[in-house]
Amino acid sequence: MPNLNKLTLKEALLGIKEKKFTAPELVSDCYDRIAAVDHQLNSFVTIVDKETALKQAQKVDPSLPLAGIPVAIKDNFLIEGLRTTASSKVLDSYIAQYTSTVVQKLISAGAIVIGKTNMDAWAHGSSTETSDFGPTKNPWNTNHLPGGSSGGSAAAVAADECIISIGSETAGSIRQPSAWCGIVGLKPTYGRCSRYGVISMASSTDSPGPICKTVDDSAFVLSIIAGHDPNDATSIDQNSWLYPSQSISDLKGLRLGLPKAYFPSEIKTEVKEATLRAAETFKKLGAEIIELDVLDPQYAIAVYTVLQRSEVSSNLARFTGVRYGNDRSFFAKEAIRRIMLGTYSLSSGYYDAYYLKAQKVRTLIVDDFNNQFKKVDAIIGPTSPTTALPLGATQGQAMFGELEDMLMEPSSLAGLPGISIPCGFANGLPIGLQITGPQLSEDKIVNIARLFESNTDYHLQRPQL
Amino acid sequence: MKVTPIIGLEVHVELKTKSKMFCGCDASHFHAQPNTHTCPVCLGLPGALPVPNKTACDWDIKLGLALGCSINRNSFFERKNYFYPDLPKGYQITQLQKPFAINGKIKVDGYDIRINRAHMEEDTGKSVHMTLDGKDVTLLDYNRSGVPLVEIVSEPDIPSAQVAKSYLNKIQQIVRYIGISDADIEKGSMRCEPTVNLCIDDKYFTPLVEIKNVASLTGVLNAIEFEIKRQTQEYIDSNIVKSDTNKTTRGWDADKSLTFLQREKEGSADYRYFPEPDIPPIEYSDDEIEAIRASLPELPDQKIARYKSYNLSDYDANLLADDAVFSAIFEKALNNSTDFEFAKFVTNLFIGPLKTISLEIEKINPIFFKNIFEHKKELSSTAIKQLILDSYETGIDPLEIAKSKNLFQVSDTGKIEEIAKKIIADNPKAVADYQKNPLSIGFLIGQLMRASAGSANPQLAKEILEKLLK
Amino acid sequence: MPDTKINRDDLLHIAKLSRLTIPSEEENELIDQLSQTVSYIDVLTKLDTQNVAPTFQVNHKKNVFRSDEIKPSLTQQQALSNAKDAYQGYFKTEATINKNK
Repeated sequence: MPNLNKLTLKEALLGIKEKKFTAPELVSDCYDRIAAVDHQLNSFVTIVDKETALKQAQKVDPSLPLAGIPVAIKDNFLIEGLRTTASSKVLDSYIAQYTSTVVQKLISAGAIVIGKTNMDAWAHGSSTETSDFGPTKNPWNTNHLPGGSSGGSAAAVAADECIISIGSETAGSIRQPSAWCGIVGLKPTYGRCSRYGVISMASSTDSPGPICKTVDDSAFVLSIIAGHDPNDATSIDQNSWLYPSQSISDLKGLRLGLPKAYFPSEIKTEVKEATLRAAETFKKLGAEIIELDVLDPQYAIAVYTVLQRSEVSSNLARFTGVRYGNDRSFFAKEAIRRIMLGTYSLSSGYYDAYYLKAQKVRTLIVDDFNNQFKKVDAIIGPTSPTTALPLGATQGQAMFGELEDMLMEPSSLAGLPGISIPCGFANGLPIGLQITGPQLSEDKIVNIARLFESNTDYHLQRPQL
Repeated sequence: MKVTPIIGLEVHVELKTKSKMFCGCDASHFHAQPNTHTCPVCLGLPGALPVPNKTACDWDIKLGLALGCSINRNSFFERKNYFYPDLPKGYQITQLQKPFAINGKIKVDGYDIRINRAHMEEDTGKSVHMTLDGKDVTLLDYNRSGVPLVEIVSEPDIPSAQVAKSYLNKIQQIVRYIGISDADIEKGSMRCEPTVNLCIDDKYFTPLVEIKNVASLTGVLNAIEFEIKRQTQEYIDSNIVKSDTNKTTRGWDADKSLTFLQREKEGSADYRYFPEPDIPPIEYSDDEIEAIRASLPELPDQKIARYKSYNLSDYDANLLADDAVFSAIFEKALNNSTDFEFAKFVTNLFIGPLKTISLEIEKINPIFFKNIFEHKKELSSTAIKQLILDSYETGIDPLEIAKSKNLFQVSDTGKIEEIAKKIIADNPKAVADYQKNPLSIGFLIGQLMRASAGSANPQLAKEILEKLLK
Repeated sequence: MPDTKINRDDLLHIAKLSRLTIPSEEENELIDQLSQTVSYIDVLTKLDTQNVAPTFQVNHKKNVFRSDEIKPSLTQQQALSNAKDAYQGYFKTEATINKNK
């Protein structure tokens, strides 16, 4: 079978099981694809040596749940012995001394790490344009950005350079690039996946999660990487979420909320129309669509800006070049901006007005969601107000990331799970739909997403590179 | 001019937990090879996360209770942000708004010294400054990074350098008593920083001075005394009074016996404290606090009071209570007796011959002490001292040893009179000397002792000779 | 032009607290951008939060501890493996200016 890299996870696992092809063949096809297209895309910061990966694929125990599956990992996840840079020159030659828990679970499940993917440096962004190693290009149109900060992971999946990938989201960084690249991004409940070994951005919202080709794929990967970790005091100890085997056939009785505020003035017309069409699809499947009045997202933007930048300013204090990496003169502009604003909002005289105030408004955001979820079972809306923006769109923008992710900041601040799935196209660029539920409701939103996917064919489209 | 010293003490106590505060590295770092007890967490590697040590938190509360503190049931950790190479994360995880323990009080030299707080935090690594190949460098060892510390802050209630030293002694004693730290100042498991200023004429206050680098209890005493003198003179010379912005830090130079200015404070440092997002908040239940309280041993002050109730002197009571292990051994020998004389007897043995050897509680047999006590009139004081040591070493009943070594003194007055009469008859010159000078009886006593092969009770011998020679 | 809430002194002070050096040619741009961001976050003042408790922990966890057990450490070699400069098992760096904290 040619072009095994184009398979979904489900198809790849079945193919290996039925001995239609081998794991090394699958891995090899991915490497061929990387060699063919990555010079155009720049999805990867580090590509694992092909021979090493093939050897691992040969030796892997075939009974493992992800045996032989090539996975691309966002470059803020540490993997022992591999270069880990967070796409910043500060960590240009840093070789990790330990492996993050999420990656360890993937390796123990038999997955084959083929590379570390490009990102906005330190995850500071929604475009991957602030990478110190050049932006990643959107496979659908290489004059456009893939989104961020997990842009490399999203591009790698959309371009079939790998079968599955892992990203992380602080507010939008899994879902938004998945939307811009026409694939599935699943941001779990905060604490569902361990943050141990993931370079911290905003400790109180960072969430590792899968970026994959289909809803089923992302659900399966989540079942492997989720789970309590004693090394992460914020990881939740609800039972590891199991891959739901019970899918649903319709949405009768389901109430889906559609917030008015999720259609801001900045929203692109095609995005709005695609979202409304998706709402119609849900209606046809039996759901009730309820218009919601939610707390104005402008507050979430302010809260997120303050909290994230404050935590960033502290989390990046360990990078001084003494024990590892280069010194602080290697920080680029975006990191400097964020560290400075964070230091400012925590500094004496401003703590009450900014940091503490933001944490109080965060309570209002959490309370608002709790109230909304009394009226509806899940909330839908566009993932991003636009489709993929052209290269250069972020230059000189002091708050590009925070403004771009306005539709996801509220749910991220509340620690809620959310999924983005393809729901249309505009000028050849994908449009994403987000579905958000209360904490721990991944099974519900996955089921809704899967049903939508099986009633549409956007997820079957692939970019022509 | 009336000068009233105002002294506060900040003490850091290194807990002797097995593992560090936020990771599983071995917390014992003294003399370990550099950077051999480190991990991603205490080395501040990218992506590492802290998880608090339950025992360390329990011990902070235990110490708080021993210091008479109230315990904050609800508490959390915070980040104190500043840059220094020995602080690997660029922030220290500590407690600011909600320390585990607050508002305590201990009595020192008759003074009530209030404790503001006893909170939990992590230690930094160690830096060594040296010149290598002509360049000034700093060498860093992170074995100590992340070791649990309790910071005890007193109110400025301490009125003199001497009381400061006593306060530190007391803290050291309590901490050792409850078994949470070795509190060894030389080894650095207890560190202190005094803050000193003066009240002049009950009206004016001199600027606050924090003194760093005091490495011994004597050092604390000397540094504070020096600082009091220095501030007094400075006030006389300059009349500068305390303000919100003129607190300074001075280092103690033990060699030169002076404090020197370390840096001017341009306002206080901005540590940008905020709650630690990587560690969820902590809530201790009433039951848990009570269980910790119940695990407290009898504290030194209580023990001293109890010993004094056995009619022991202040000095003896303090000496016996000073070390928890030593006092436990003493009490095993005492075996719940309430007899004042017996208590005094055992005390004298403990602060006498038994203080010279290293004691193990298993080898103490209370019956031995009782036996010697009951026969003490028949034994010389030298014999008693030897017997207690011998019976401890060999485990043989002292009465048997005394019999076999013929140590029992004869107290039978009849027998002694017999020997005395013979001595008087045999020594007419000595008798004549005695008639002239009663103090010369010593010779006759000596003769009697020799005649009895040392077994006569010398006091009785003297009495009987005097009676016969009247 | 946004209200310049941050001036050059503020900028230099924040840069010092953050251990960052701002090249002089970038100072003005950074002042503008920070000021822009500050006016954006000032929207928080519009909401009444007088009786609202802050949310520091969004998933309601508490009392997460580890027991006092020793776990294996990194080897000295692993600990030093990314150091630019090491000496006899120590990390080595230029002398710090304030020799005492």
